[in-house]
Amino acid sequence: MTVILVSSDNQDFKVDKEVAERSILIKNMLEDVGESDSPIPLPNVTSAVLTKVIEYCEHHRNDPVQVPEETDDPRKRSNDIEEWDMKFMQVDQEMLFEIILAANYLDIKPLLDVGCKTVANIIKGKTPEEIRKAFNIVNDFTPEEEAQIKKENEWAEDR
Amino acid sequence: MVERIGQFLTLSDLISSVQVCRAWNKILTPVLWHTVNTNSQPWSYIIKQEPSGERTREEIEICVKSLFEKHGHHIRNLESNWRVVLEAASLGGTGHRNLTSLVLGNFYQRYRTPSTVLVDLNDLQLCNQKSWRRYVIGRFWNLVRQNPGLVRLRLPRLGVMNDESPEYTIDSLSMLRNLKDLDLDGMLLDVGLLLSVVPQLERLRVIMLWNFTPLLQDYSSLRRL
Repeated sequence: MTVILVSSDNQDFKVDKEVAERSILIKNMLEDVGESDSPIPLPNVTSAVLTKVIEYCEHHRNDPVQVPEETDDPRKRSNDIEEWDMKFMQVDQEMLFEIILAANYLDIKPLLDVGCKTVANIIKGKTPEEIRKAFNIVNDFTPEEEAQIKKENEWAEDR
Repeated sequence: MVERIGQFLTLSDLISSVQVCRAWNKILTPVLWHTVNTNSQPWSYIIKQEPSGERTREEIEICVKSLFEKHGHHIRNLESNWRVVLEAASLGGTGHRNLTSLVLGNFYQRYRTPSTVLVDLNDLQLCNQKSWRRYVIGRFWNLVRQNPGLVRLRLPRLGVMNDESPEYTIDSLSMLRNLKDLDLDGMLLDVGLLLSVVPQLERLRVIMLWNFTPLLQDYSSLRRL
């Protein structure tokens, strides 16, 4: 069985139901509507991003459903990314963030995690200034605030 | 989204990230302070230098204390052997009220407190003084009582924790309606009484048991002893 997804720029994507249901949002929608051929509009996802998302879901169509990690410490999560996923994520930064937003909207947790891990890997080992440069972020601290925050965090430096 | 990304960052990357801009600082500071274990790196390196002409032990302690006072309300899991942390945390006004896990004065910690710089809760000389034990234990239970959400608790190994009256201990523990994991270490408590006030307990560790009878009863929650 196939379903039709419609991107924000009105392109139709015909995909297997099994693939589309990697998205919990779509899965729930399909369950609510029951047997129906009507296309599913995804007004928050452009065709370029949807193409990528479908590619991901196709590749992972047979993955077991992810069990939520039972860890109380949010920092204990592993940062490993599978080789295929790593290649899949070699896109420009704009696309990377678009994919993360789409994964969040479509509720595809494994994709969301891979996206966030990719960003985390960009941050890895960088100084605050290097991070700003990497993501084009403006330093909006006042000099006083910056000095204060630097002082607060100096315990971790010089290791 | 930034918060979610923060969950995949190491401690040192988080420290860089909170210095990037205001928005990141606001979102990631709680992630950075979620779990604090001063017995592990990089906390164990907090002050590498010895107290010197520049910074006295008191000054260093004040610095550490003000950090904990500022960020205490973010902390969920706290493990420390530093007196100054216990002091900062157990002062009611400092916001250490959201703890779910607390381990203080762990005798078996991997990294020793830089004792020339900070006072270790297990300092042998101090532990021999009754007034010191009283002080630490008083502070400890204050902290426990201001954190009714505790799920995991390990009592400090002062050997003589039994200075405290068992009634007070049982009473304090009975307030912890979410407590699932309790390590009594060397403390002697009536396990039957304990389990009657914290029936939801799932894991209990004791070093000595002097009364097995209560355990013959059925405690449906308890899975590990």
